[in-house]
Amino acid sequence: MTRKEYVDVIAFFDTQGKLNPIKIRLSDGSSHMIDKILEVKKCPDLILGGIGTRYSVRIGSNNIHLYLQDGRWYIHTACAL
Amino acid sequence: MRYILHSDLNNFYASCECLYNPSIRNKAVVVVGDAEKRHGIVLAKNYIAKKYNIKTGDTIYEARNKCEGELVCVKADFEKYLRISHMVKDIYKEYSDQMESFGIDEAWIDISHRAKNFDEAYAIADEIRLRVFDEIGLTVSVGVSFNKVFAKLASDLKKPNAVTVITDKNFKDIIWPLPVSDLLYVGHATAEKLLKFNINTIGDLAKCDTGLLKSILGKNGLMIQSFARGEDSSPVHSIYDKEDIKSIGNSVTLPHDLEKLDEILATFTTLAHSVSKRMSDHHFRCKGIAISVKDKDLNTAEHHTRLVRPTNSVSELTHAAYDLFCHNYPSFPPIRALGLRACDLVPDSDPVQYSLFTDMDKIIKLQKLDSVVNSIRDKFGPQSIYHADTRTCDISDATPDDEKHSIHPVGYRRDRS
Ligand SMILES: [Mg+2]
Repeated sequence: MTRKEYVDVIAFFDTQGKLNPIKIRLSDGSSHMIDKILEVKKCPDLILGGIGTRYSVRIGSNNIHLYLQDGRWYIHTACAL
Repeated sequence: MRYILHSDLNNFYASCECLYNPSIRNKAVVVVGDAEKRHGIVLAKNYIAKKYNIKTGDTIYEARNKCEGELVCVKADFEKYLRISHMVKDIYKEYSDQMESFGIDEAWIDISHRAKNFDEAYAIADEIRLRVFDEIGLTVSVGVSFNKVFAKLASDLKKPNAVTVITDKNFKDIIWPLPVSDLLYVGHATAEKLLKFNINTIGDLAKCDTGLLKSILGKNGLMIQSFARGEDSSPVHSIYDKEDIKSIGNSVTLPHDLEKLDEILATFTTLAHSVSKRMSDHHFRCKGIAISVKDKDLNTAEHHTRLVRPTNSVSELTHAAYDLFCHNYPSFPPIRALGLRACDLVPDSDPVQYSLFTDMDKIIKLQKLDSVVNSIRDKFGPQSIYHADTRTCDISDATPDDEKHSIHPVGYRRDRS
């Protein structure tokens, strides 16, 4: 099972008006710097629903998807049934 | 040759619900007006529900009886649908300023400036189809043709997630064999009438004697015949069409001549309410106003002024009008009629530069007041709530002309959805 885990995000708008997330904080309190934004794509979240923007980012050695939907950020988190 | 697309979102409401709740994607889904009520009615359904022959207009009870497995009933969420519709139309707008909505889930897009032939038009249509699927997650059926009527017809031919082209060369083969009721603006009643004269297909309609058609359906008959012949030349309206509105105004002839200033003020308040409401309905502010004054001898004059900043606020309009009146009439003859017109309109989405010392709290309060008054009037009518000033002066039965019959706005073509 997967669910949406909403996260705190620090982001900045660049001079082109683009929004760049730079750091996220998970619900367990841990913070993670985003090392690189690999891809930004407008798309639906076909797994958990909704439409928004998907940021593919690298945090350390992990590539993860960070979703921005209706003004809130979340990631997919595995959870027990 | 024009190249016009008609794009139609497939099973729009139901698709939106599945998009936001993927767990129901593979079930029969109906969107209903009110799920709690057993007699709630099906507004939309997905393909799986369609397979069970569930139809729009079925009651939930009927739908459940038709469905063999689980039937998911979702209450309609029009705000969500509107939001998604805007996202899709933003994609369309990237291809043309001539993008005209037809309801929440359909739109025409004129791409004549981008396509030189039907192959190129097809390629653009297919790109739009793919992008809507990719970026929004919805499927569209796109019709490509050389006029709006055929483009719409084409979009109905292949569903879902498809592009259909009807050219000036092949339309007789593709469209003419279709039943006449498939044509836009041929409703049930019209089709019945045509049937009596053995006009069954769109081709029959195209080839029918014009005189006979006129005797059956009047002018309307000639219109639909020209559609059938591919002669529809109506333009796809531009997203900027709203700018056709040059001004929004209203005037009122008073039940008795006005001689006192507070009556003048009250009258401008009444007028400002209706002008303000129409401005906000059409998402405008004005940079200037004009007042028209007719005295008891029917001498008429108009006076203009520019405003310090664009507004659609009732109190700002009222006071601007009143000040303009006082400025021009230190003394005045009995007044028979007054008018107030907002000119130099700008979209209300344009930012407004307030001076540093403007009392923003007050402005925001007044804006809220206006919008509350407007929504009360929308619900209960223009007489349901009014400024106390307008009561004391006994011009209460002086409903602005516009609320009885429309006199302005100038050059306004049509409502846009
Ligand atoms: Mg549709």
